Amino acid sequence: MMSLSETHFAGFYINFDELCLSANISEQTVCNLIAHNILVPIAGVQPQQWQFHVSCVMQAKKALRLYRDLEMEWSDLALVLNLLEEIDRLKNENGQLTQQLARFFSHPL
Amino acid sequence: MEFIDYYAILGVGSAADDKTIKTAYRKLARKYHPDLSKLPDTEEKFKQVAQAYEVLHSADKRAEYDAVCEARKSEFNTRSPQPDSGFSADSYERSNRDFADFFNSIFGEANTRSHYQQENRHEDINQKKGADVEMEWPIMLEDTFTNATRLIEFNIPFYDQLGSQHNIKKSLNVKIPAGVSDGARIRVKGQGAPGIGHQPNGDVYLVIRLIPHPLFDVAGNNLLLTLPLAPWEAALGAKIILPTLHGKVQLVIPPNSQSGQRLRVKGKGLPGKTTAGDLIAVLKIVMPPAVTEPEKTLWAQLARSANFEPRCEWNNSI
Repeated sequence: MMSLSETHFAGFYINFDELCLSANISEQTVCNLIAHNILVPIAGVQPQQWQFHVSCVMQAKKALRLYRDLEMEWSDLALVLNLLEEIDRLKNENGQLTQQLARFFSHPL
Repeated sequence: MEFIDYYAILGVGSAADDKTIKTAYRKLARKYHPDLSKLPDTEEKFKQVAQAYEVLHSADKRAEYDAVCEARKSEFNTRSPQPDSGFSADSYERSNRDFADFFNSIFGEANTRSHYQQENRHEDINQKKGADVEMEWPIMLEDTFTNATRLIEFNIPFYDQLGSQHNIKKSLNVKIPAGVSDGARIRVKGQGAPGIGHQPNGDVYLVIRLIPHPLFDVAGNNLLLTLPLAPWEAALGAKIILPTLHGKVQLVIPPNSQSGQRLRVKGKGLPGKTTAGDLIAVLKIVMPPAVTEPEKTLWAQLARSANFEPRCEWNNSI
């Protein structure tokens, strides 16, 4: 176990090789995910220059689980992931608006 | 060991053809896949569905399963299968260990890794990167301003090479990156489950969750503050001392303010990547809880002298 006196710095970005290793997927699979807009590098033109946000690791793993377990096509998968993301965003927004409304309609009695 | 009826799990009869099995699997997969369902315990349920499908959609495994079941049914404490009933509540309650034991008893340890668990790389189970851990990290709004350090404690389930499960208790001091937002994911490298063989440890992925504040709501980098006003403060204007996360500031309420109107205090929101967000005061006109006789007289005087029709928008509709 690490010493508690050590402070860990949380990172936001990883490169192409780290993404393949962290998500446990092949380079070709990452290229497939990028081709279908499921993963989007935030910087770089060539694979070895690509930089990704760390959320891409979980996104890639999720995409592969759905691709394999539901026997989906890549193009369908991109649509499903977009819709799942939209559902999460709307749920989050709905929660925020509900909270704001509750504050607005509460009375100081 | 209890007999496990894969046909009953998929809700199909034992004479079901491949198409029926596939359709049943897809229906249950959509219902229980952990990435699609918000129901509790879906991961366990999905693994069982996936194992049933793994056996029944492979002609070889299905034939082996049918033959072995026929021969060994009497050895198991067989319960009546319930074709067409789908995944019964009874079968949910069995642990995945029961499922793994049953599967191994027919197909052997070599086939233990299920459809669900297969990975694309590092197929050698003696050489495997440690599992990643993903967890939510609740933090206070105030913690997003400075690079504050907070302690995180969690358990990591770890399977050794013999398949035995251990729990590793971890305590980490992690620095919260300034300006981090709700839902952001950050990685703490190498602090997940230990790697097997010479492979690296897994990583810890933290999903930032901002703890709801008693006063402020978050909208992007902006903070919303509902600001209650007396009717006369809204009518005449006022100077109000507002709480912010940076201390107190004075806000000037202009005369003739309306309920729901928003007033912006620049730069007093949450920190951002380039610029700080704003504090937005949402005006909320509040009536006094009880009206005394002298106040009634004053309201009546106001009603007589004010030329105000609050429902004028209805005029064209009625």
